[in-house]
Amino acid sequence: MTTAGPLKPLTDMKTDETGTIVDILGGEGVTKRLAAIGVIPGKTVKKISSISARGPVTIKIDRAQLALGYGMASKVLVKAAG
Amino acid sequence: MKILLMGNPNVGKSVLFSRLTGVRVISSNYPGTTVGFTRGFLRVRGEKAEIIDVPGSYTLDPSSEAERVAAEMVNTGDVIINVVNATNLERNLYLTLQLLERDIPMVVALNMWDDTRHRGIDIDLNRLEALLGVPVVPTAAIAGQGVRELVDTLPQARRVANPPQSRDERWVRVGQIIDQVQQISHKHHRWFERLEDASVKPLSGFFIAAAVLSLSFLVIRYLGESIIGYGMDPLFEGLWLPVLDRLSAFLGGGGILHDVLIGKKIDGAIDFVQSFGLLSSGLYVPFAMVLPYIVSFYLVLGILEDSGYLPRLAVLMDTAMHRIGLHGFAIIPTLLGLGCNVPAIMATRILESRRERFIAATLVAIAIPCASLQAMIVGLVGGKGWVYLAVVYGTLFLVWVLLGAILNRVLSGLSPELLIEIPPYRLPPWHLLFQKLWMRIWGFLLEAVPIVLAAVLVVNLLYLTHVFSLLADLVAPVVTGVLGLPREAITAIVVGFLRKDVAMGMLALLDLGARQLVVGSVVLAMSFPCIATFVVLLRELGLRDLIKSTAIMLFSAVAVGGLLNAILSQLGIH
Repeated sequence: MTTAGPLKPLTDMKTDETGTIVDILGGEGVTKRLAAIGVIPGKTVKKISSISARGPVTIKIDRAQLALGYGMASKVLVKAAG
Repeated sequence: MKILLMGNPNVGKSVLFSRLTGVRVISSNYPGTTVGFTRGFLRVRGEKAEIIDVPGSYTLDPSSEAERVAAEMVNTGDVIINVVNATNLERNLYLTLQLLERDIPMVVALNMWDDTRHRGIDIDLNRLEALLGVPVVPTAAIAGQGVRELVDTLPQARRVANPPQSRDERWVRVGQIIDQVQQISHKHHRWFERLEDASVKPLSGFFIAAAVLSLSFLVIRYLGESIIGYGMDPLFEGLWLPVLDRLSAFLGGGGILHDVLIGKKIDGAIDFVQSFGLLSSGLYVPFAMVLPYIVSFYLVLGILEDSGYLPRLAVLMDTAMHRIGLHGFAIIPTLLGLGCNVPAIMATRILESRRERFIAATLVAIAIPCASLQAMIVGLVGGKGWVYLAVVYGTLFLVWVLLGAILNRVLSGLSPELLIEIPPYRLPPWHLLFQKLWMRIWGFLLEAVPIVLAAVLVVNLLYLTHVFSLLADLVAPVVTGVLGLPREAITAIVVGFLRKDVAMGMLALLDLGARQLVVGSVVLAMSFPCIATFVVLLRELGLRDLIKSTAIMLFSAVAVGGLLNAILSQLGIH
């Protein structure tokens, strides 16, 4: 039903856009920290905001709101929904 | 028996701990309030059991000091109470599964249970219990519900010892459990949720931050001033002064005992600020000058903490904070430092790297004046005009920014990025708010008042024995030459090591001009922190980093004080 959108990092998503996490680019360190807080492939995310050009990104995941630094957010690859 | 309270950050472990033990602990609505562990006792079936409030952690593979504490403690427990946030089960069960792999009996407390219904969350308790293999007890710690049932269930704690799984396997399992036990019915956007989103969007977010911070400042100031103007001053002038006048007459109006107890008379009368006796300034400074601001500051801070606003401020500040080598979350220890540097430096444990902790702790110790010192600065420097007050605060802010930027450049390594969970907004639970406020006020009274009295006594004795004049001769070149302060100011700086508020009170005795008072305040704020801060710096940073931090402190205090003196002199300000 949903048409699969192109892959893009969280940082490139638009405000209020939703998508599914597909992959975490980057080493075990980043993957581990993100996984601990619930950012793992397969989860649905909704982007809430970007603070500034290279500022942190806030997202909603499992009804929790998370804030990720820009570098980390750029490593989270998302397939946008429709 | 040793019971461990474990769970994700900000799920209400500390509130539950208070309920279980009657021990009062500080709780707030942001992840990482508890950085050390607190122990208490409760009775399980008539038997005394020890219970420990373990810092929150998402996983047993640690990435911060607080998580390291949790990971190390897990093996020391006889029973684990895994506190789980019922409104966000899927995020909490990962740690639950990890804990179930340990060979330790466990009970799950499904906390915030009262919050699930209006959020449209329905959890099948029996099914969850069957899938996890341990008892599950719904609780609402803030309201005090389910606590008794939880204690009664402890003897039925079950040892599961599941075979260890990989991270991905655990997440798959979490998904399977959630599918079977949880149903969500869609609820409309609540008013709070709109406000939550608006507080982290660029435009509305900064507008809200500006409004919240200026409102906080105004409330702290007016509440503090009102307590002084309508409460403390009338009390001291109307009730206490007549008593002291009589005592003074009784002691013959002079002599050693008179000077120690009541102090020197200023223009023939007792002056609560300048007389500097144990019963005059020794009581007036802590109770009438500092306490009112302690009350107003911690009331406002408590509301900010419990509403859930602070993590949002951290997100907004992140980009700016990176320039001083910290990420946004470091704003929380910094704000705590405006109250007292001791808990602020302990709170730097929520920062991940050693480098960040060093920068944050050093900046707090040097550039963040505590409430006691600020109350005195506002009282004394403010009397010379608000411009001078602005110069003191402006200088300290500049020092904070510049020193942070320099440390960020000089120290090797990079600071990690921000990664936090932002809690939902919550109306502060008033009973917890006032309990926390009372704990902090009581802590101030217990720790500050005896030291203030001791400091005043020591000052009087040192004056009598002329030790100060020897000391003053020794450092006179720096104090008079570079800082442009009278030699006697050195005594204040030395006393600052005991209590900053008393030290500031001593500066008031010297009949300083505006320039000298400004320079004195800044140097006092930046130079040696008080002894309590010093001890906690040693504990948190270790001896080597403490020496490094102190060297930076001394150098920057003299440099900034000298520069400020030169600039203000150039401007012709005495």
